[in-house]
Amino acid sequence: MDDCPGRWCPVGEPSPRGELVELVAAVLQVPVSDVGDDTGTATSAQWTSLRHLQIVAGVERTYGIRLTAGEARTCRSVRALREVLAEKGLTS
Amino acid sequence: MRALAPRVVEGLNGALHRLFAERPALHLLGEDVLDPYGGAFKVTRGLSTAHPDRVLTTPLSEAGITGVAAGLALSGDQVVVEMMFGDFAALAFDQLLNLVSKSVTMYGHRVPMPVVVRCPVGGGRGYGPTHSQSVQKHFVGIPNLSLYETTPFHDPYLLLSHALDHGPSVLFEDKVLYTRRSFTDGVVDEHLRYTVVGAAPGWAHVAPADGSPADVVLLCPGGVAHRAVEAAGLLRDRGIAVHLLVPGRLYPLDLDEVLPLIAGARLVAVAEESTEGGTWGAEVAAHVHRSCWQDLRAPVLMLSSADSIVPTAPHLEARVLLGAQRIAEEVAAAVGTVPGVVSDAVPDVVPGAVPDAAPEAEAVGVPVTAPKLNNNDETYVLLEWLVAEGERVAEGAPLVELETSKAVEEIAAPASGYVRASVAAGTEVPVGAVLAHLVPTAPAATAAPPAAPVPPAAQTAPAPAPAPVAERSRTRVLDRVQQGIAAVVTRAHREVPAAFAALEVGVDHAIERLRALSEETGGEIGLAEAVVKAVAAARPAFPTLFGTLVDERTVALADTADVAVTVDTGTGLYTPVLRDCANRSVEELADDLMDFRLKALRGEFTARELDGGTIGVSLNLEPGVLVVSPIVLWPQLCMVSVSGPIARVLPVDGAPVVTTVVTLGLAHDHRVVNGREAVAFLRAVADSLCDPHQLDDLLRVTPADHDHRD
Repeated sequence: MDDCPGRWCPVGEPSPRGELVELVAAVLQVPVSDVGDDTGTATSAQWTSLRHLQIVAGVERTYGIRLTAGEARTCRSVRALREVLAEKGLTS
Repeated sequence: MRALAPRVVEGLNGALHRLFAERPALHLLGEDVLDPYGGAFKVTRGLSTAHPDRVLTTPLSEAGITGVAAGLALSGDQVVVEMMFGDFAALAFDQLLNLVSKSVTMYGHRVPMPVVVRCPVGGGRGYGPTHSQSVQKHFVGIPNLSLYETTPFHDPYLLLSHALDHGPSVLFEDKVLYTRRSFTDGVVDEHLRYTVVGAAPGWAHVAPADGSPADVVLLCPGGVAHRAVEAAGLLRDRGIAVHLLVPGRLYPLDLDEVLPLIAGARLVAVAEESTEGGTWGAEVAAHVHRSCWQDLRAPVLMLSSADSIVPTAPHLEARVLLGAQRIAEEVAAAVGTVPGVVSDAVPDVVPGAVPDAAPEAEAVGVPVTAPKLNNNDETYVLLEWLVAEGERVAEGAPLVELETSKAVEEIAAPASGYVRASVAAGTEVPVGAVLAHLVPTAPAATAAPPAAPVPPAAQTAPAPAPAPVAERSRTRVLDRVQQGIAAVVTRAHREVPAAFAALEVGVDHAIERLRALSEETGGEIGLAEAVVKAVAAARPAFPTLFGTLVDERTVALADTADVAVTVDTGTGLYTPVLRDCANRSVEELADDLMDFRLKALRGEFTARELDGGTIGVSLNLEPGVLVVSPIVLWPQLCMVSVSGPIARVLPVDGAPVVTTVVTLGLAHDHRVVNGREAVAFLRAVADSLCDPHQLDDLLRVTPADHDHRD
């Protein structure tokens, strides 16, 4: 946080589009290999409400989209994130 | 070459001569009024020579003179009484209160009482405490007694004849005004014009010659008129357009005729020379408040002389009496607190914010000012002009974006016109600063807008604060969001004597239930939403906690539980408001809360979303947070805090059980809420969360359910 005072910065920069897993892993601070489609609030203690927001912000920035509040609230797993991206015509 | 206008004393003298010529029954009584002295201020000069049988000098007995005048009037004559000094009218007060004014209606039919008591009043001439007072207020509100005052705008003949015909009356004559020349032909000076409006004797309406609408309407009696004109000039130099209203008759108030002018102003002020308390100005203010409440943006500003006798020494007298400089300063200061009016009372923050430096020509047109958008910020950053310099904008169309410490607001054009910007994008401006003028015609050549003193701020990020002092390695300038927080908490710390209570509550069942609900609905619903619902549900039983302090004895109770919640996603602390939480489902609240979090990330809050909470909830649900003592968000009275879940080993039925608990805290304004009520409230909130039946009830609340419960 000290590197970007006053602004939220993700933990590590995600790779370009298509790298949803890397993005989630970076925010959760876990190895990429630990992140799968089932990773989410129900399975990962690291997926806290604050990190959920960081994931949403990272997805918006990486894919150049804006999620509605409803979408952001229901994207509670990597699978759900993929589904939302797919609905917007994006592959992850 | 135009002849000089007469001095007011000459006008009065001429008026008396004319009235004596026209009215054979007219008499004048007073002390030392005969020629060659002709009265202390020479108002009656020549009158006794022309009418020796009707101009009578009297002994030094104001009560006697006034009583004789009443007798003459009851006998069918008309009388002008001269008090040598208005201060001495106190000696005639009994006659005026109990004989002259009462005689009109005490004989079973209305009796004409054509008596005018002339009273030279006011200071400024070094006459000292008993010869300088403004005694008008002592005569306000006596039935049948009309009060008039000479002005530089009204014809003295019309005033005196109106006063006689609508008597009994008192005519107050400012002593300094005696020596000033009347205004004529509708001209005050090169900047101001006047017209007399309303039924006779009417109000002098003094307005800028360029037709500028009123930022400020200043009402004053004639004796203060010159000072008001001077003050209008001083305020004009600050970019504030002042209209003056000066009545010929003070009382009864003929205010309805000029209310349309007053209602259009952004600040209304009343200036008078008397000391404050029970004054004509207070009557005016009360009437304006009663009649124009919906239009007023601020209470009527009342200006009086200092609460003092009038000293004889000129330098002390000048400090006591209301003067032009003080009128201007107090109006400017008040204007700085009113939305939409330019002011230099708030100093410019950076060079380039030049609300007062615009050349006079640019003052033509409708000014666009930085309105007051919240209670926290004294300055905003002008983010972007939405209509280019020189382009035309329609009234009501978005014109400019201002960034507060917490939100970006679009400001609509107050009128149609061509944009002539005074402030560049990226400039930090004080509340009330003139940002532009909307002029009626397109500029011949489009001038470049003023250069930005700082780089334009990004729209989606808080603007960097301009550094008045260069940042050094060991200092750091707070960003605008944090500056806004600083203002809020400083005010709260200063104004709210807060106490704090806390309670621990087991939340295992609540977490389990919320997890299930999240699965059912497909969207995350957490403890934050449940706590907000529990707080809102407690309002019917604890209405005082959902209120604001109106004065030291009165709490305004809220009709709904509008909960301000803390949201901090790393971009600064915001407190947006979840509306009507008791009557909305927990899912709706969850959607709103997520929306707020996203807006915090994006820096997209509007001022409206951050305003109007009736209670606060500080959400600190990160694991490991033991307890949080929040700061009450003035003017709210209470703020709840909720800490992070912590596992504790607690005895349950005599056996140790690992239990997840959170700490509920309540910071409360101790002027209104005592510890006992605070703890009872926390207990109610805790019960809603840990009691399975209450929790189920809370989470399935629908508007109909709530109405039933409430």
